[in-house]
Amino acid sequence: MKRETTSVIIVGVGGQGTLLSAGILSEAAALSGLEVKSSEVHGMAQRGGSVLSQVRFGERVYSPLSPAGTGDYLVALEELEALRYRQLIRPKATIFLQRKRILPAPVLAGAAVYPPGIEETLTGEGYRVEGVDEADLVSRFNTAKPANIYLLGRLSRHLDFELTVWKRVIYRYIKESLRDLNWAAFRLGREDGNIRK
Amino acid sequence: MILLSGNEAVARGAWEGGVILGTGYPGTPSSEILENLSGYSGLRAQWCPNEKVALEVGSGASWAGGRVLVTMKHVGLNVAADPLFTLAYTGIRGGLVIAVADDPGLQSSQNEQDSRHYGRAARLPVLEPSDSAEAKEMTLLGFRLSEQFKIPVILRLVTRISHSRTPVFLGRRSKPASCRIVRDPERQVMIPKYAAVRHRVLEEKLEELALYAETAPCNRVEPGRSGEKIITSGIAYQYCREAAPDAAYLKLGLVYPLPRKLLRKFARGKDKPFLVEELDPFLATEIRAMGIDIRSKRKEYGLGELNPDRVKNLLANRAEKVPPPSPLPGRPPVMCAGCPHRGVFWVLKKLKLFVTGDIGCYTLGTLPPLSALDTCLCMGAGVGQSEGYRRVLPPEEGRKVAAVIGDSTFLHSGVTGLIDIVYNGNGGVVIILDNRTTAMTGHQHHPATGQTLMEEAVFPVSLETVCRGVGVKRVKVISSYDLPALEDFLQDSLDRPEPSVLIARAPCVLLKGLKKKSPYRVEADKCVACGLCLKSGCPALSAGEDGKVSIDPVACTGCAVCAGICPVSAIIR
Ligand SMILES: Cc1ncc(C[n+]2csc(CCOP(=O)(O)OP(=O)(O)O)c2C)c(N)n1
Repeated sequence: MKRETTSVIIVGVGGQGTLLSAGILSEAAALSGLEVKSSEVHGMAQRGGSVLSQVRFGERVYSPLSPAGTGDYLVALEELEALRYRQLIRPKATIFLQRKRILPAPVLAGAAVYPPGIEETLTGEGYRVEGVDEADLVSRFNTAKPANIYLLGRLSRHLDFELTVWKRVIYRYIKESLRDLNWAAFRLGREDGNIRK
Repeated sequence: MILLSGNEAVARGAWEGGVILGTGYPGTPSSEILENLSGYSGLRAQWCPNEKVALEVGSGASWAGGRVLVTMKHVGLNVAADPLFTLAYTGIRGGLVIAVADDPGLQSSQNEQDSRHYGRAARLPVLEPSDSAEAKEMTLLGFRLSEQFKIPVILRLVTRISHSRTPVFLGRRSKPASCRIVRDPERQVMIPKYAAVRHRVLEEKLEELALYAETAPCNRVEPGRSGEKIITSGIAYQYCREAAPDAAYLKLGLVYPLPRKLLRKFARGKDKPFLVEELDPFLATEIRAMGIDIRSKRKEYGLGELNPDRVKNLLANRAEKVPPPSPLPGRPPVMCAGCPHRGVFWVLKKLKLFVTGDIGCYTLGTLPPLSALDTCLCMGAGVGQSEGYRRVLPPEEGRKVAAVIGDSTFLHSGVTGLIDIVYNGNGGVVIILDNRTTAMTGHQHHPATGQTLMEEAVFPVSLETVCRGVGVKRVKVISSYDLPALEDFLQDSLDRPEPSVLIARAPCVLLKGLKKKSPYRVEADKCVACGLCLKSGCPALSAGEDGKVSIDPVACTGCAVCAGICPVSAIIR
C-alpha cells in the first residue's frame, strides 16, 4: 500500500521546545517504519526568534520542506506564530494551538501591534483549531512547560503510530527528572483530543 | 538506520573513514559537525582561532599521513583561501576533506556566497550531498578521492542539508593510517620552481578527475516518464523530485569537475534539459561553456534559498516577484535579558559615538531601540575600519569613532587590526566585548575560555596581556554592567593620541552553570512612565496601558542595567 506523505509544521518561539517536539515526532515516525525528513530553522532560536520545524513522513519522502498550502497539521506553541505560518498547511487543516501570546520586540517597542483575535481569524478562514489555554496547562501541571508535548499528544490522535512507540521516544528524548511529567502531558493531550473528535 | 542531521552525518562519515583529526572554527550552519565529531573515540576534534589556522593544522596532519576533516561556514573559506589555493598544488598525503556550509537565504550569515566557485578557482573537486545519507557517503568518498588523486576535497553543504534530519545507515570505522615525517620539498615547499611543476600536476589531476566523473556512481541518471529532463544537484534535487516527479534526472554528486560526455549524452534529443541549482549559475555556466545546450533558471531564482514552490515556478520559467512584506509583526532575535553587551551599547549611544562593529551577538546592537552599532562587514573588520575612518575624518569627527569586537572575534582576526592601530599611531578606542564565549554560534570555547572542544582545561589566553603585548599602553578591564565606569573610561579615551583598549567583561547569561541574581521590580508609584528604560531593549521590560513599566521576574537576570538607567530610581530589588 502506498502511503502519501504527511507533513507536520511545528512553530513557536525560541525556548518553547518546538525542536524537541519535532525530534520526537520524527523519531516516532521512523520507528513506525516510515521514511522521515525533518528540517528546522533555528539559527537564533535562543535569542527569542521565531522557530519553524517541518516534519515529513511517508513511504518515500524527497524534500524536507513541504510545498506551501500542502501541510497536513500545524502545531503552534504561540498564537502569532500560528498566524504567520498558516499558509504552509492545507485549507481547512487542523491547527493545534496553545493559546499564548509572546510579544515580539517590535510590539514591545510600540512599533507594531499584536494582531487581536487570532484564533477567530484562523477559524474564520476555515481552519479547524484545537486549542488549549496556557492557564489550563498550568492548573493541571503547575507549569505550562510541557505544552509542546501536550500538543503532540493531541496530534497523535490523528496519526496511527502505536502508543508504545510514542512512549519509547518520549522517554528516550526527555531527561529523567521530567519524563513522568511529559508523559502525563502527552497522555492528557491524547485524551483531550479524543473528547474533541 | 537512524535519523541524523547532515552535520551529524558528516561527523559520522569522518569517524567511519578513520579520521584522526578534525579542526575548524565555528560558524552557522557548520558548527555541529565538529561538536559531534568530538564525541567519537579514537580521534581529536578542536576549535582553532580561525579557519586559516584550522586548514593549516589540517594540512600538517595530512602531510604526516593522517586523515583530517576541516570544517567551516562559507565565509570561513575566504579566511582559509590562502592555504587552500596552494594546498591544491602541494596535494595531500592523508585524505583531507574540507566541509564548508553555505547559507542560501541568509538564516545566519552576512552574505550568500556560493562556495562551489572555490572548486573552479582553486582547482579542487567539490562533492555536494542531497541528504544526510549522502552527506555521510560523500564524506567517505571524499577521503577516498582525496587519497586516490592526492588532492584536498571540498564537501559543500548548505543550511538545509546541515540542519535537516534524514535516515542514515551506519557503518564501521576503518583503521586510521599511521603517521610519520616525510621529507619531500618538491611537493611541500612551494618555491616558484617547484610550484610551477605542481601547477601542471594539478591540472593533470583535474583531467583525471573529470574522467572519473563520467562513471562516478555519485553522478547518476534516473529515467523518467514525462519526457522532461532535469540536471541538478544537492538539495535542489529533492525540491525537483517534489515538483517534477516524472522527469528524467541527471543528478550530479561531483559538481566540479564535471562529466562532459555524460552531460552531452543526457542532453541529446529534441528537448533541452533544465538545469536547476541553488544560488549562482555555477553549473549552468560550466555546462554551457562545454557547448551543451540547456535551459536554466531566470536570474531572480539565484537569490535566496530555493524550496519546492520556487522550483516549480522556476521550471515553468515564471517570473518571480519580490513578495510583499508580511503585515504581521516580525519576531527578530533580540539581545537576551541580562545580556552583558546591552549596557555597553547604552553607554556608546549616550556618548553619541560612531561605532564600527563586527560579527557576533553584539551585532544585534544595531537594531532599535539601541541602534548603536554602525558597521558590520566581516569578522575582525570593525577594528581596522575604525582606523580607516579616523585616518580621513577631520579630528573633531574622528574622535567620535570607536570599535567594538567580541572576544572570539578578536582572537579570530581582530588582533591584527589592533596591531595596525598601534603601528600606524592612529589612537582611538577598541572595546572588546568579552563575554567569555563564542555566543552567537552556540557557545563554543575559544583560546581565552580556558577549555578546548574536548573539554580539557588549558591556559586561557589573556586578552589584556595580548593587547599590552602588541603595544597598547591604556588597557582596562571593566565589568560590562558598570555603566558609570565604562562611560568614564570611554570619555577619557576619546581625545588621547595613543590607542586605548576597553575590555568589557561579564559572562554570557546563557552560559551553563551561571547563577542568576534575584530579579528587579518596578515600584509602580515611583515610575513616571518616561519609557527611558525601555530604550535599552531588554525583553524582560514591558509597559502597561498607562506607560508604567513592569519586569518579568522569570526573564530578569538581575543585571541592574535598567535600574542604573532609571532617572527616578523606581527599579529596585
Ligand atoms: C569568517 C567567519 N567565520 C565564522 C563566522 C560565524 N561567526 C559569526 S560571529 C562569530 C563569533 C562570535 O563570538 P564573539 O566574537 O565572542 O561574540 P559573541 O557572539 O559572543 O557576542 C562567529 C564564529 C563568520 N561570520 N565569519
